[in-house]
Amino acid sequence: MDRFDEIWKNRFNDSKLPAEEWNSPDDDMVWNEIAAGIAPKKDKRKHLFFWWGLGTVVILIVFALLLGKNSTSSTEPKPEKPTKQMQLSTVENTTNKLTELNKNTTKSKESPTGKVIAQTNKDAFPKLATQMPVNRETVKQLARNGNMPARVLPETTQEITTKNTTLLNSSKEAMILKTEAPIKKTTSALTLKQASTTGFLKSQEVLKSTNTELTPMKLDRISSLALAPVSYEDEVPPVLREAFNFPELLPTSNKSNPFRLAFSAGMIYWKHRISDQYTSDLAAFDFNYTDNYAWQANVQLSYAFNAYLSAFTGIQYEQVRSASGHNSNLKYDVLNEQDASNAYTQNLATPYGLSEANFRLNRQRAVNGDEIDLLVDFESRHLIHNWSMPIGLQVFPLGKNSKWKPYTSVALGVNYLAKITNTIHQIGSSHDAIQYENSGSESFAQPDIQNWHFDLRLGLGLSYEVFPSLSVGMNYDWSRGLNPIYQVENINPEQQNYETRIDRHHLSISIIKTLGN
Amino acid sequence: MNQLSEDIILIERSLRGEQQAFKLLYQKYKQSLFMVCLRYAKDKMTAQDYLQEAFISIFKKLNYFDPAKGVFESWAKRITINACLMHIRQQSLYTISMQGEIDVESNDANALSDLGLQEMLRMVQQLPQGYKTIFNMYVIDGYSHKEIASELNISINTSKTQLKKARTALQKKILDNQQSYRMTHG
Repeated sequence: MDRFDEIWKNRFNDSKLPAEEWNSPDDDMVWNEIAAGIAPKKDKRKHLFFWWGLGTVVILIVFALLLGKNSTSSTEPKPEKPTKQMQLSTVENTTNKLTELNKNTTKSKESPTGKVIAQTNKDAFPKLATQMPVNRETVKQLARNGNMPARVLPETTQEITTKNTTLLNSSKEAMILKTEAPIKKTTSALTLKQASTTGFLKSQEVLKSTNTELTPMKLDRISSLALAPVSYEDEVPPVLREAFNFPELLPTSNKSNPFRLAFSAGMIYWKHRISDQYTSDLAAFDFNYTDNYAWQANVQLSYAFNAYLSAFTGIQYEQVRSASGHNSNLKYDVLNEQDASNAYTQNLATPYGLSEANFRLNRQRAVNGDEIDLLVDFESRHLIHNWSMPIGLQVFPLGKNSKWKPYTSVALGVNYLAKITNTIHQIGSSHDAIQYENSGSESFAQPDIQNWHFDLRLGLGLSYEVFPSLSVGMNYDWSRGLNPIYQVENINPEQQNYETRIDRHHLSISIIKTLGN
Repeated sequence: MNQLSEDIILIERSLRGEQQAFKLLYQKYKQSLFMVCLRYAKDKMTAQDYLQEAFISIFKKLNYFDPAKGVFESWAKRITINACLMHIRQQSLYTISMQGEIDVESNDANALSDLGLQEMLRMVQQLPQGYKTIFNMYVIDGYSHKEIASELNISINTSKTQLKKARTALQKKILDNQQSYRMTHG
């Protein structure tokens, strides 16, 4: 730098300038703008993320319910809710149908029409499928004409004796046998099966002797029938199911309890995503930090809408350790030392902002000079406790019928970062006589973190059914932090805020129990 | 109470949200920081905009100030320069000036010494933005060519060339000013 430059530099860097109009700002204008700029703003961001998260959860739930509803409504027309009048009407129809069937069964004893009927294609009765409720005259007519298929009418009396006649009814059509239309049977036993919305009633053996008369059952007793799932597809011909308004057969997976409970544990990798601006701000300290592996444990409850789709939620705990470091220039003051040591209060740079730390540096031996310049390296450790609640959907592309069940998932993670515990791990000074000694009296303030944050999770998994109600699984989730755990607003709205977000990789193994089995 | 202690107390009070402490800090440093803004701006109004942005930035980053690393004024000046550069970049004010060499016979340091600060400031403000920015950064604010290149996203050679041209332009202005003075004062 020559003299020309020096003159410019010295003249402009002379801070003792007399205040004149040309070198003084308009205080009223400038200060008012500054005051407005530094006025505390209401932080709407937290509310924004809360409502955003809530909205996402609601959308997910609605989406899941719609999918689940569609998957069942596509195969089964929704039965009409029965009134008492409808029930009585249905009972009358049912009883008449049973009477007609019974008569035909007796007829079949006299002629071998059953053999012919056995060869009749059930497709010969397309009308039955559309006549709901069944017209008793139609059934009667079909029976008279000998057009009742073999699967409806027992082939011989002998068959009736060995197979038992089965009376069937849907739960919506509560079955009450009328006194004025007693059913007399000459077979060994008569079994009633009652359909219900939740499955099918176990067979109710009502008669076990010949020439027994069925007596009516009161309406209020219908609800007291033992409810237990029973498979009827082998016993009920499709045409009868249609004729008596039976609900369609449920998928095999729906016979079991749709709720599943999973316990999982595994590794988690926390990857800090720190804005460039923030890093460059801290770069002056030679700031550095580490990402790290940690462990997590998880309890998850899922509900299967069908064989392909489940919704799930749960609670997950993560405990993560990370490290960060930077350096600072400090002075050691020999004249003002206490017990051969100096106390310091220093803002330490961490991935979660600057955090105030108190510590002491000890002088080990005599030194030259009263004041010593130190270049001090700080290494800090951070223990993070995070709780999260994933809410999402699992899709089983191959269904749940095989023992191996691959699946994919999408979820919103609602996280509560409960605590970050900072500790000073090491302080290295550039002077061999001045050393840090961990006395246990150090304090390191918890950084000003945002406790609530959200993440989006995408997962892949595979489970294996060891027993019908117990599976083991392996799962990988990738999650992307949607809002920061630490943030300082940049003064320039066009620039990025100083912030730290967390992306995660989860790898876990799990034990999955179907509830109620 | 020394300067550093006074500043630290004001900063601590500011960090607690005391509006009065903010204003005291502003009153204390407004003039020296305004001089920085005047050098980078083309006029006083623009300089006031820079100053306003600089102070807001300073107040928002107060918790980052580390007394162990230097005095408050130096730290605040650095933020003020950054605020000026940010504004210049945003407004696309920084353009490489492609003027040809200005032929100046000598760098008359004596003539420069005779100039008042206000006149010197006016000369700097009249420089093309590219010259002005690099001249301010290198000569007055102590940036290296490497730092300038990094901040302005230009090559080191460009920084050196622009600085040379800025010096030459200023020397010409000084000579012009001297000749004009001689003509008016005989």
